Amino acid sequence: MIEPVEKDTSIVAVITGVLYPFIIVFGLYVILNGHNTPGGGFQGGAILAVLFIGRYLVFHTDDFSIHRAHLVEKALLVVLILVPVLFVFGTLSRRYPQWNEAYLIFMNLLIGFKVALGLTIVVFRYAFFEDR
Amino acid sequence: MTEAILLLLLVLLAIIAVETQILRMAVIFLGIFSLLLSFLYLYYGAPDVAIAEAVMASGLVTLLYLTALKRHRVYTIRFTNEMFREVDDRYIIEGTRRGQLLREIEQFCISKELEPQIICTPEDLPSLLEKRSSDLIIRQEGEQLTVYGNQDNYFVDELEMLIIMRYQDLNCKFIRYDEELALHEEAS
Amino acid sequence: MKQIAVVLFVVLLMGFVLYLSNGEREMLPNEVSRYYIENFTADTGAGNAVAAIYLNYRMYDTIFEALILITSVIGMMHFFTIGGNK
Repeated sequence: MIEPVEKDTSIVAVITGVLYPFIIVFGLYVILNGHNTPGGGFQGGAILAVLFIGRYLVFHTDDFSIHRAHLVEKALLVVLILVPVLFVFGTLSRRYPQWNEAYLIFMNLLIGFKVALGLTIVVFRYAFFEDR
Repeated sequence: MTEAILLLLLVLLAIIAVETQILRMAVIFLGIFSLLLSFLYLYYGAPDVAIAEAVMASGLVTLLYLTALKRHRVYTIRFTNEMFREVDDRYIIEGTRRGQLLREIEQFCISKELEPQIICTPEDLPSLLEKRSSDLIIRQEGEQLTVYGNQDNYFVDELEMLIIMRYQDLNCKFIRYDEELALHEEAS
Repeated sequence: MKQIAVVLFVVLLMGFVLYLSNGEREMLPNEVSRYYIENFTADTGAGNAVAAIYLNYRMYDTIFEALILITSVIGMMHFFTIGGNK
């Protein structure tokens, strides 16, 4: 209801700066270990999306090229459809079972980056949308 | 036991979130609800779902709701006084009659389905008028209260009536200002 | 009056559903899930059964989930043009 004195607080900025590398490492950890431990591409991607959103919360800048991110996301979707079609639905999975783990890690990475970019685009579009 | 407490708290928080009048508090209660739900998923042995719930529902969805509230029907009230660098929250709450005025404006906003947002600002009045981001500015000089209403807002007439009628004893004045010309003729 | 009727209806419906499901444990005849739990490491090389299911056994689900996400992003890009709605 009653908000504190309106100022750009340096507390949030400093804490976000301190948390930055930890967010990156934790997100990548959740993605890369998704095939062995709880977590996976979707969860890790959402954690990585927090990176850009936290940056927006602190600096309120929009120097992030949304169109380029959208392009990358579309390219990732194509790869994300092609890889399982070749590997799982084809016969490669049964012929080379030693590639299974590499396939899982690769797919988790793809899904993670795609989800991170998608959520970032959604939040940025929504936050910078000018009404009236 | 833990399960029962968590489930009861979930029901309680859901009811509170529905029944709260101020939308922003409802959003916060919904965030707490999602966090407890993720604990419950963890308790039931589904850590994957718990992580997804905690990050998505408790973090991003709360952020999106708050952004949506800020985008749309927020009625911004800024409070300043002559020693504009020393204003703080305590100042409003302690003055009972002034606090009542703010409560009344808040109730008015709720009845119009607006979202009241009261900010005690350390800025000077001219810069506030220039910024034009607030719908209502309340300024205090000693005992004199001056309310600046933004002319673009539809509810400024009703608010003026409300304040003039019910708060004559407060020695307060209502001034409207335009968006283009920051501050001009005064009408008490 | 209408509100009371709605509340009564909801309470009665809840009681009915609880009565129907009373005493029944949801145990599906699930050979499939038993098969997955026993063989997922040998089949897919994953240590986490969830990852094995959403990246190998049920790959279509993941693909269409990605499609849902990109559809929502395209919707955002289309409707929320920056600065174009003045």
